[in-house]
Amino acid sequence: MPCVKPDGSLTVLGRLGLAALAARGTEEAAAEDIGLPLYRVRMLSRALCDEGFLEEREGRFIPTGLGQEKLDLSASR
Amino acid sequence: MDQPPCPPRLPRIGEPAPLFEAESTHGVLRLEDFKGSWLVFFSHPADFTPVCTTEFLAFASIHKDLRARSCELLGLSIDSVFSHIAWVRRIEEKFGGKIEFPIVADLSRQVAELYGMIMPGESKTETSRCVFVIDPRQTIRAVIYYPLTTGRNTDEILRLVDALQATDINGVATPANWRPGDQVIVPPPRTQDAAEDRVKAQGVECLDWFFCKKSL
Repeated sequence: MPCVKPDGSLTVLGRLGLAALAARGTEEAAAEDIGLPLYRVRMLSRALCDEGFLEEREGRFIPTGLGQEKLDLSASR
Repeated sequence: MDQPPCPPRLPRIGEPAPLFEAESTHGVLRLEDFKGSWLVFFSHPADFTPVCTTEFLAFASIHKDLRARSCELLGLSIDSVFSHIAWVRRIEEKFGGKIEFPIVADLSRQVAELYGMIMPGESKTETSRCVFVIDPRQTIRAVIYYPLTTGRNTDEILRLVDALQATDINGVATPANWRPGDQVIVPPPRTQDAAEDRVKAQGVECLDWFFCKKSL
């Protein structure tokens, strides 16, 4: 699931997914928060991990330094 | 003498659904992404064809009903993702149907071969109208094949999902043309003692020891 635009900024879904996964830690809880089917959040979390914005530790998703930067940037807008 | 190549084996009911990763209209997806949900995985012959268009509208119309049953919908054809996107947009423009489920773009035919979706006797370049119902543990629970010329009955697909779920929840079977709310079949007893008990059992209507129904 593409989560990054060509200019490097996050897509709407990418931003929503990153924020929800960072806040809730699991795909199931994030899916509830965003109101997306679980399979879409799984696709999204994989894409966000592949892009280096998230990492999975002991079954929980945690934003990387790069992911936190993206979150801070979208919060400041 | 050279042996002809073995035709790809079709996945069978009760077997694990073959795993795959593929590009789709929602991005790169894996079969495992659907773990925990029921899944209706279907193929269609080609984008921008009339029968397939009627089918997509019909699948779109049961999508909400399927989701209410914890069941996702996934399409596939041997077309590019750009063709899928253009066709989905055209369906929305011309027919007013919104296609919200993902469609696999299987240009390499890898997934189609894995699921035996190509019937070379009918067409070597298109997938037939196949439906695989896959349960939350990713086991194949039902398979339907239709030829290129016959559009599927999506009401039957919904009924099939209802029947499989009723079977799993209640440990029963469903008779011909069963609909939710109808009586279900109680599995026949396997010993003489059990047969004796069955015909006297409360809450079960038996026409014979082997043919008993009950309401859920």
